[in-house]
Amino acid sequence: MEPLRVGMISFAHDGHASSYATCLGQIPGVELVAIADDDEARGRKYAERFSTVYYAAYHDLLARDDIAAVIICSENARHREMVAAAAEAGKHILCEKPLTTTRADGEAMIAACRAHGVKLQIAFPMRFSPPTIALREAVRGGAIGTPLMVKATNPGRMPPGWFSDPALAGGGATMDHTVHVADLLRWIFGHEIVSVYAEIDARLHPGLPTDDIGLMLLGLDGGLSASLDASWSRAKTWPIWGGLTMEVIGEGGVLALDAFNQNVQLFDDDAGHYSLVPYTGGGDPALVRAFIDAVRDDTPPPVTGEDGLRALEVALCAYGHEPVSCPDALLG
Amino acid sequence: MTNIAVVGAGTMGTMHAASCRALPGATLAWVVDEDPERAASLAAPTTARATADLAEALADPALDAVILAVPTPSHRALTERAAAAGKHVFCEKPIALTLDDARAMTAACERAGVRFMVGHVVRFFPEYARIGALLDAGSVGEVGVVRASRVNAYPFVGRGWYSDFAWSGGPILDMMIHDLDTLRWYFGEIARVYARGLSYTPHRAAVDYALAIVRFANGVVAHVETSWAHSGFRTSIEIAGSGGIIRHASDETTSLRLEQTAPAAPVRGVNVPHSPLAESPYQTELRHFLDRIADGGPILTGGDEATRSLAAALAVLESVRTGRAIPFTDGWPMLESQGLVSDIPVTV
Repeated sequence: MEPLRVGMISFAHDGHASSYATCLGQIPGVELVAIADDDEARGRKYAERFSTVYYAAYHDLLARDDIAAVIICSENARHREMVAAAAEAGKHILCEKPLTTTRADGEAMIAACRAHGVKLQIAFPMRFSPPTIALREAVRGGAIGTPLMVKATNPGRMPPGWFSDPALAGGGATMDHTVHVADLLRWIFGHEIVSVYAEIDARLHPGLPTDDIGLMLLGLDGGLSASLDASWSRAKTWPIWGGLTMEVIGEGGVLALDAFNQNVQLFDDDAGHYSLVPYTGGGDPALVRAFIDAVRDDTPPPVTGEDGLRALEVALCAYGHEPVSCPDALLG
Repeated sequence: MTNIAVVGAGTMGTMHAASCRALPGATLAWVVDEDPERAASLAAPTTARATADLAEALADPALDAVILAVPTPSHRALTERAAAAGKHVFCEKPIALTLDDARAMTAACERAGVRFMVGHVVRFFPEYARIGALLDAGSVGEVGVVRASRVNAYPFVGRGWYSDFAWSGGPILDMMIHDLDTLRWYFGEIARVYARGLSYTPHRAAVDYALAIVRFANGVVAHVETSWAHSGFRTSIEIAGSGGIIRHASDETTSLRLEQTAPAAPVRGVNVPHSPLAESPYQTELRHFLDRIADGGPILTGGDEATRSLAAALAVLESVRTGRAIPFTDGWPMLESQGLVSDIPVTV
């Protein structure tokens, strides 16, 4: 059988991009055949690491007829341009989260993919994390009766580089970390988020040009309420990058998820603090596998552009940019 | 020596009676309870006299102070009676169910020239006091975002007053008020709150729960959780600043754990945390009261502080009830209702 050839555009989101590249390498019949990155040093580094071809211009990668699909991990604000170009070139697309930085861009990306008949999947790996799947099955299986309230957190250390440049990221912590939980809430409970109250601020990193604190209370249609802490509040000495937790209070009990609690403890004298070292691959392998399956089988991707847009809208509403419905949100 | 009457021989009254017995400066002189058997049973191992009539205890010229450990709706009347009799008053939290009652209690004690303290005991828990000292020392730089949590099982006590929302105000007035009070102590006055929860839904008869986002005037943002939906009592607090994180979780700092092969007798009454300390926080709290009676110095959790913490809890309740954010001015919320609203709104 002819291998499915995949290209990757930009390693700006390098942690996730290199994980996806590794995952591609584990799927039989799939080849990572090219990496495009306008940061030449970064692009060449990863092209060498994954034994593939480097392009400075992503249009040259898209011009290759043998490539059926691309994974785009550029800065958030550049997703639109690259997704539109990839769609025009007829490539199926796995796009890093968040979808983009504005609603108009998101709608344009979805429209471009539809017009050119290509699949657009958004990289929400938490949907593929085994503990998260188990939480969803327990909730849907009635383990705690009717869900009533949710307390969620997705805090992290502040990532380096463009993540705190509002022009490229579209915001700070709130843009970076709201969409995962927003997507999980929609996916687990099957309801849309219809109201957002947010307190947003920058207090933890002196001189930061964007927010590092994002606390939200969300209302879902059907009556469920959820809080979300999306802050870049993990100290440099915190033992792990951050995490994602979700405690669901139901009529008949409580379910508590700590999705990144599968670690061993490492006490390394040179580090100056102890570390938590994960012993699982999280959701990335299944995420990438699902995208490849959708391309090969010509089935709809399990996480769509619309899913990405709904989650983005929550972050935009938290910033006061987009009225999903911000009842009387008093923005900090 | 301070002669003390414990009024109310329930869970908290029993706790305070034990503190009186443990502290060298205190004597348990009276136990008052409308149920004479309960009063007698708590007084029995001591030299205290038991009575069902508060007037009898208040008429004792040797009595110096009362500890009110009775349902909240009785706080005002009993405080006013004790103050009028010239007795210092220690009153369990929450101070009252309305701001009017709270202010009247404070004023009554001022008028009578007696000391007045409210049992916001969390300020006397050594872990929360240590956190306060770390904050004072600037240990984590500028504080940004805070998470405080206090969860418990739904209270099913003998006479059931905690689970009667109109008497207790549910977990927001019973539990969240502790964290609102402690965070006010750490960070000063509140600027606004927004909250969501179950206190104004029919669910509250079996599960009550709330989440609040609190913005302080100094800029700190806090997430506060309260619950009567879990299986047992635990607390946690995390304070993230520009230079690091302070955190404490009660279930991660257990110093002694007992696991029995046969199930023990079921626990009765309200679940109150126990930790093996040289001095219990309830003793520390009572010692503070006795010391301030003696030296006339400022009481950490006096009437005004307790009234402000009540106001904060009422603001959380009003936000849950109305779906609106509640702004504060000079530490006081702009409330539609100056006291507990206990009716569940009828939704069309």
